[in-house]
Amino acid sequence: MMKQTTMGVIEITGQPDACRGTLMNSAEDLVERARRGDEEAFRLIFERYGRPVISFIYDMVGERGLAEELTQETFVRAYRSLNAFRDEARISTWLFGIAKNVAREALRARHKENSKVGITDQIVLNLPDEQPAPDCRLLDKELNGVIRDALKTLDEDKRLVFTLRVFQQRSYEEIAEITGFSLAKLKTDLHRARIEMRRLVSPYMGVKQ
Amino acid sequence: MKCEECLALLEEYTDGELDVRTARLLTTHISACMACERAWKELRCEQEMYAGYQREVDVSPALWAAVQGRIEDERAVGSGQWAVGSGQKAAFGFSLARLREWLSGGTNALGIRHAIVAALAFVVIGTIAGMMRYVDWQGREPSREVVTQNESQKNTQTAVDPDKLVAAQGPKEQVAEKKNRENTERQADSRQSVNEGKRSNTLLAARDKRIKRVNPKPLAPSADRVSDELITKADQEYKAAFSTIADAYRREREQLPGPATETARHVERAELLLRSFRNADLSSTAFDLAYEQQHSKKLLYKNISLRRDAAAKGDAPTEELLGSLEPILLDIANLPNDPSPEDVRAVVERMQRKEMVAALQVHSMQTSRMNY
Repeated sequence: MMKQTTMGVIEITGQPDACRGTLMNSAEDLVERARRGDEEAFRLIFERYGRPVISFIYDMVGERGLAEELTQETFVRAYRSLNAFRDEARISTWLFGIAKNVAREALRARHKENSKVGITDQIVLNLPDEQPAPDCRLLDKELNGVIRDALKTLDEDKRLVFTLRVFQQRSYEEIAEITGFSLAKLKTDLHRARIEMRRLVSPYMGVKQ
Repeated sequence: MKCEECLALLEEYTDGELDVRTARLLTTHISACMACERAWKELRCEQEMYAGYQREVDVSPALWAAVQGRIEDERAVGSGQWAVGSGQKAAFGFSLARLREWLSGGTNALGIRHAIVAALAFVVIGTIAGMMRYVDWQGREPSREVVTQNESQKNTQTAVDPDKLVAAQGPKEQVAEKKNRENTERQADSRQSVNEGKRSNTLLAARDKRIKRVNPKPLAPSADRVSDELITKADQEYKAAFSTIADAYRREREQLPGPATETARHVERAELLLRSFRNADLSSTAFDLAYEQQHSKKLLYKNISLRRDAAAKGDAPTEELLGSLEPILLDIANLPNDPSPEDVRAVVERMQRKEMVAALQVHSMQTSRMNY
């Protein structure tokens, strides 16, 4: 039941201290407990943030196995630096920051590995043609596949800001904190990423370009 | 506001990143300008489509087990953070923890610490340089061996001239030796030409395959070209069909009445309000938040009614979400007429602690995923 007091303040009966309510297992609480050695608290952090972190990494690297491996690495690094972590209220920003570093390292390592491949290597010779077989083409045009493929065409910076904004719903301020980009750069990258994605995805959505 | 200005700010508006005043100007313009409204709707539609994007990854128990396993290993090494063992291992762990704490700022001896850190950096750089030189040397070693071998062969040949050697032998032996030498040279030549032939064949094959891969379409007109045309045609038809179906779904969803849509719209409005409130300029001394307060009051009434509906239907996640949203809406509605920066900051911090905006977005994403 809601009532308006003489002071014009709205109160909700049955929910005392509604304004001051804090969630049990809040981020600060979990971090503090994990620091003190509560393993269960760290498991809860993993449960709460594991899905967004793995999704973000997957969007960055585009490979399931690698995304799982890098998520593991992200949380191990987070555990290692629990003591150095200061702003408990922004745990997700902190985790995304670590995940970004881990994903970027993996992408660079993969780039280096790829550049080492020689022309006569068996792997290169066995690579399939870039054009998929006709029967696969139609199947591959499912919307998720379209978005996934379109994401892969973005360069690393654009993919990073696009993923954080559009899929992870981070604010510009948080994205700037995670990536270290200036506000102007991230706005430009995000705008260009949206245009590129629109160009590739809109034919399937009936959205005018 | 002009259309150009509005369109330039549309993405930030959709992202809820504009300050309260500019967002209000845009809202007014969009409600009066059909072209800008259409552009805004298209952007929203895109957002919804991205919200429906599903990945083939999930957090499995095995993943936590792997993380836990690695943390256990870390603990075994002994960070001294969670469980400190006994004996030498514990002492080692303790010292590592102390060192880490010390390096991260646990001591006040800044000058000394910087000096030691610089010395450590020199040692690390020196070690890396040494390792790189060693690796470089290792990489050159086989070729140097080959050169040495060739040179030694050459030296042997120059030191003992075979012709002179032959001259020192008898006539029969001279003929036999010459034949042997010719045979050996011929065999070596033929082996070399076979090897070169093989290598060039491999390279040619590789080049052919590469050409095929780079240029998958055959140059000559053939059945493949016809099939390519068919594929392109089918592709276009598929896109058109996909687009029609997506359009139909979207229109249907827009017209769909019912509590689920009502909650979704409410959550969307609340999200926009909270985003706009979060972006209030905290360095400012005077806030004009009358609109937000009024809007928050309206949303609060709606929130209570929707929360009760969700409770009656046993929709626990929605009930929980709206239950968390209520105190925030209440806080905004109850702000004084001229709120101080501290008042506003307190509400913003509460929103951030609860990660309210993110929770509302997750709900919107899930709703649109169900609708797709």
